[in-house]
Amino acid sequence: MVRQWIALVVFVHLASGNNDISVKDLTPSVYEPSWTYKCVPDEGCQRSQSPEPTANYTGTVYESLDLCRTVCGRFGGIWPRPVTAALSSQTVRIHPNYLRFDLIDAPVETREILAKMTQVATSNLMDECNGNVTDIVETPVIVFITIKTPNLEQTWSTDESYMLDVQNKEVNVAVHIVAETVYGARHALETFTQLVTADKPDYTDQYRCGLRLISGAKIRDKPVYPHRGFLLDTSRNFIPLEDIKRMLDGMAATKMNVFHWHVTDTHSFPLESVRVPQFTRYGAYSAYEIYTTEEVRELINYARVRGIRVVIEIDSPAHAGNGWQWGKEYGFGDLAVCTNEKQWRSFCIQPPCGQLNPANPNMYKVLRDLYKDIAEMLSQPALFHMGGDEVFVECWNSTQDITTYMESKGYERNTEGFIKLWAEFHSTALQIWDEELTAMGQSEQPVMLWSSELTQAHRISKYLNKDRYVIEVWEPVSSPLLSQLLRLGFRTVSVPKDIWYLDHGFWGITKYSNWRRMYSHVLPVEANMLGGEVAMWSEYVDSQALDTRVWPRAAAVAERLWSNPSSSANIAEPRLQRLRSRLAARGIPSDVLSPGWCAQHDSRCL
Amino acid sequence: MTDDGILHGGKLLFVVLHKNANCVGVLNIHTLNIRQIEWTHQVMKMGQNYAPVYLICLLLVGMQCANAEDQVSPWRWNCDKGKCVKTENDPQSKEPALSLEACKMFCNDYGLLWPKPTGRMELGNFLSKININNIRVEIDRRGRSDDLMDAAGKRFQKLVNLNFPLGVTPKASGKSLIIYLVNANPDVREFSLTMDESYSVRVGAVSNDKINATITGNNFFGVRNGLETLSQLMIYDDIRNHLVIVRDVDITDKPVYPYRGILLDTARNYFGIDSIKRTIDAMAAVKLNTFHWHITDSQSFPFVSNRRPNLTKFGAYSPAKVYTPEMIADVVQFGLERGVRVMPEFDAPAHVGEGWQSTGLTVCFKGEPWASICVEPPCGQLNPVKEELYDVIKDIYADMNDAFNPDIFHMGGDEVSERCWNTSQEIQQFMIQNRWDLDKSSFLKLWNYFQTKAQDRVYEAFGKRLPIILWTSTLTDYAHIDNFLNKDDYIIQVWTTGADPQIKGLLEKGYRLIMSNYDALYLDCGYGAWIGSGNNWCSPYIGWQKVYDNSPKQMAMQYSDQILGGEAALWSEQSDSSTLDGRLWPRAAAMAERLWAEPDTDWAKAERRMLHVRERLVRMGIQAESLEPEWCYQNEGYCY
Repeated sequence: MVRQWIALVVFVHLASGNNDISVKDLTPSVYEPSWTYKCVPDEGCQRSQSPEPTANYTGTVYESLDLCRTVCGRFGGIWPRPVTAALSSQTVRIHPNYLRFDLIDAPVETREILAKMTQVATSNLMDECNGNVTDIVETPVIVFITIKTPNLEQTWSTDESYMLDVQNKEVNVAVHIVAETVYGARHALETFTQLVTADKPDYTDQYRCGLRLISGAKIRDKPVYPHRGFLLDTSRNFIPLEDIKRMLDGMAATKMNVFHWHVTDTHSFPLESVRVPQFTRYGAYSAYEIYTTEEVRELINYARVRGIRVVIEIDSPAHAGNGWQWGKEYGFGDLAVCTNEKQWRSFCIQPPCGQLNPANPNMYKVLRDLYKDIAEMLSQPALFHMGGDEVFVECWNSTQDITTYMESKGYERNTEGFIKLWAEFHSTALQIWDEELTAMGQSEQPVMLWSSELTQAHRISKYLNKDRYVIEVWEPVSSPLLSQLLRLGFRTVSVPKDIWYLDHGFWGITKYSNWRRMYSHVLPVEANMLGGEVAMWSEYVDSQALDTRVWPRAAAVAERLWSNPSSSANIAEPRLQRLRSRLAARGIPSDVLSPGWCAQHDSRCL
Repeated sequence: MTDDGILHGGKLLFVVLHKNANCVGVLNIHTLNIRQIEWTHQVMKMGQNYAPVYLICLLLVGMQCANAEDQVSPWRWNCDKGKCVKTENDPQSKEPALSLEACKMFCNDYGLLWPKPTGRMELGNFLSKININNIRVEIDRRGRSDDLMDAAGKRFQKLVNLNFPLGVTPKASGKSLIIYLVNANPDVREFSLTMDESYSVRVGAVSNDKINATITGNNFFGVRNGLETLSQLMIYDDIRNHLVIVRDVDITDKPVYPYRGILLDTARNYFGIDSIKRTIDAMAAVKLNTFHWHITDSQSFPFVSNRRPNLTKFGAYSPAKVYTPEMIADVVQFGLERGVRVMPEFDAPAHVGEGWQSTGLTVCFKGEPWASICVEPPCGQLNPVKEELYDVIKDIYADMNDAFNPDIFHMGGDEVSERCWNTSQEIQQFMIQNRWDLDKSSFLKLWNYFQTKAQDRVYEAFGKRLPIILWTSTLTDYAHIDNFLNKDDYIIQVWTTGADPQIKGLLEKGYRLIMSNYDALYLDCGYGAWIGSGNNWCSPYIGWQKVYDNSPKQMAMQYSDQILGGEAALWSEQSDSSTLDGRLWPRAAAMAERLWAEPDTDWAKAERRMLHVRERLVRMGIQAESLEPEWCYQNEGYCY
């Protein structure tokens, strides 16, 4: 709806004034020529000494920084860096109208999604020119896509490798993509768009923009880790769907493949459940701050087209409160306990408190309904995260229902007794999840769980089956837990909080990690080390500051997980500058890395 | 997985509030009964104490959710012991419900006003429904500031409209509202350090269907501030889908400090004009009055100098990344309409470089290794012994006068490096000719030689002896500042820490100060270093609490009359248009209240209003950072 009433506020005596906020035509006085850039081996792109005409430029002098970066260096402007690449320093002008995708060698099953992937790639190319490519060239560009298997599943064993070759044949440009799966082909398309840059003058009276493609390329590429995730918390503060989609666009641009959606917490419950509408009614911040089932499905599809798998997390048994407080009213008893407890320090780690009530069988009934809804939303095979962190014993211990229940089960009221209760919760929850998946005709799937007291090395094997649980370890790097769990044979995902938490540095004694620090952190390389995630907890962020808090730092983690390079962050910086400008073109604002002067003089600000 | 740091009290916000638990809940509202009557929400208050309060209300309670008709919000808010308590709404109940903002308006100290008024403050007990079709602004038209008064009226209209969520059309019923603007000096439209920004606002019902609001000021600037306050007294009631206003208002208000600024550095990275205007727009909403434009530095020279066009040609990042006189005039006008002066800084003799390539008037430009010559790459400093230099800078000053026509000018003057000057044979020769040594004190003489000549050029170019601001530096050391700088000519802007003994020393010598102590007011701190690893030099990140508690009065003690105000600075090595809003807001709003009101209380007393001013900024289109989970905004008093 338009705000029709805007015009309705009446003002007397208001003569027409010059008060519009919009910018008038303030065309800066034009002076040409401007800076040019030179690609200097080992130094990157360097700005010319003075502004100069480019009419007679040679092969290594470029009119724009983006163009220079796209061809300069071994990996040009590609992020994350591929395993191997041979790139020509020449470019050829292309136009999206003359870009064709040949899907004949792709299995029929893959074509529908592949077609969408090619649309995304084309639209990304258009974005380089703000959606308007004015320089028309009629050279046909044909992208031949070969895919070997029809499998559309997204799992940790999905083959994401690809080969990409570009050949300029004078009359046309042939691009060959060969991949095992459609997701590998998607990555190839992403890389292909990164071989292209806009060619537009810094300033002219009239808008003019053309596209240039590197005229020869041979790229072989595959990821080091199968789990390259971005976690977003939408409970502490609500994040609108449009913003989440933009995050997915950024992930696709950096070949991240897991969107870990921490959708609920004690603060709010924005995820609509068809079977249990009370969750959002009591748990959402407002009627506007809800993800409907259709929106979730739409998002999951949106992610899949971008090679991303969505993992929904319903954190439990702790980190659950608002959304669960209606039990008594409906005759179900307390589904959660210590919810919104005022003396929060005694019952949880941050307000508001809340923990599920494992003594109440009705809680499991409600949980089953929620799991059913989620199983129906996720694509198969479903990957689900059960949370499982920061259970606060004192909360349960202060609830009589629960202590009575423990007595009846013979659990002592000490740490180990509560651990048993906690483990019992997880095993019941997993059983429910299994049953619901089976009912839908799916096989049993591993689920994810946060590291906690329960996953301590001396305890975990007693309670959790290593074939069923993948442990997400968030301890600081100094903790031995990650290597202990690997030694015990658990599959793990690593999110060291002191390095890969994006909210650090804005509260308490935590320290901000810059992109170099995030980039430089290295994970063990072994089969059970599935990968890592970069985490955006939302206590101090909502849609307003989201993009710049996340980007470009998340991209540093993306390259670590895709390429695991042995070279330093300094070597990567020019490519990251190129990525930043690419993200901006695609509508994703990111934090600046340095003064503009440093961006125009690679390697001079180290 | 959220950090257990919170548990251990790492988060300042929770800890401090806990310690001051007895300061929370000053309002003594005990209960809140709600009955159904007619047309007005009535909250009665007896004397100074808030006695049992009755809220009387008329309309059928029907929350109109645009696309969620079957999902009526289950929540309403009750004011209980000075806190708004989220309570379940029983749709069967006949008791009408209070919306969150309506509750906050009366339940919180100072309602939803930011910055809080310093004079009389009476909000009465009633909210009245206003018909959005019947709001009029009556302006006396008698002087040179007529166009500005009109602009302020239009802005008011926009601010009122921002109350409504997108897609919502509030009901067009209720009383009419007439706003009378009374301007005692309608010919005043010039900024000055002594201008009167005070105002008063009175609102009252004149009949059953009419509310009058009168805003009185001694000039346009005061009246404009009054309109800003009035706009904060009008809220949208989302339960009844109606615009409402606080009915019985009596406020008198004026700022404690005359200079309340934000610095933006547009040289390290370029900022689009739109983002600059957005910043000024937000400044006006919290009554800040000075936009300090650090428009050049050694990295780039985006200011278009008509007299010396080569400076821009060689100095801009690109031909599109410049500020022409027309663009600047547009910003200046935009600021004037919002009571915000736009003050240029031409930083010299250090912090120059790009743009000066063809002049031969700089030394050590792009000198390497930079770390041994200057504070960050690229190095560069003006060569003070070249006589021609003074013609060039006079032209720059004249161009700045043409574009900005400022009432105060900032000459920069920070971080001059003697090692840079020492790299020049010519400068060494000059010093020897003058029989100066090459020691520290002689370099101060050389610096002063530059400053004195530059000062004369400023007066010539601007055609008046306008106040000049300089950064603290070795030249402004209180031990010898009076040998170089006259305290009546110069205002010193302090950027060292708030505990620096220089502050006291300068005050004792009679200098007027503007506080930008970096430990509380540099908003670029706390991010990763842009050179090398680790975090940037002034880490850690400064939370809004520290910004709020940064009191110039406490630093100045008995000399607080010499404090002109304060200024938050955004140096832009690590930000540009994409990050601007989040870096500045809402933290700059915390400073705005400190400088307007210089309250005796700390941030904990302001927290609930602060959460609200952040929401207001977001509605204005400012991408202000989030301070806490939304849960804390909806559940007052829990997140301590």
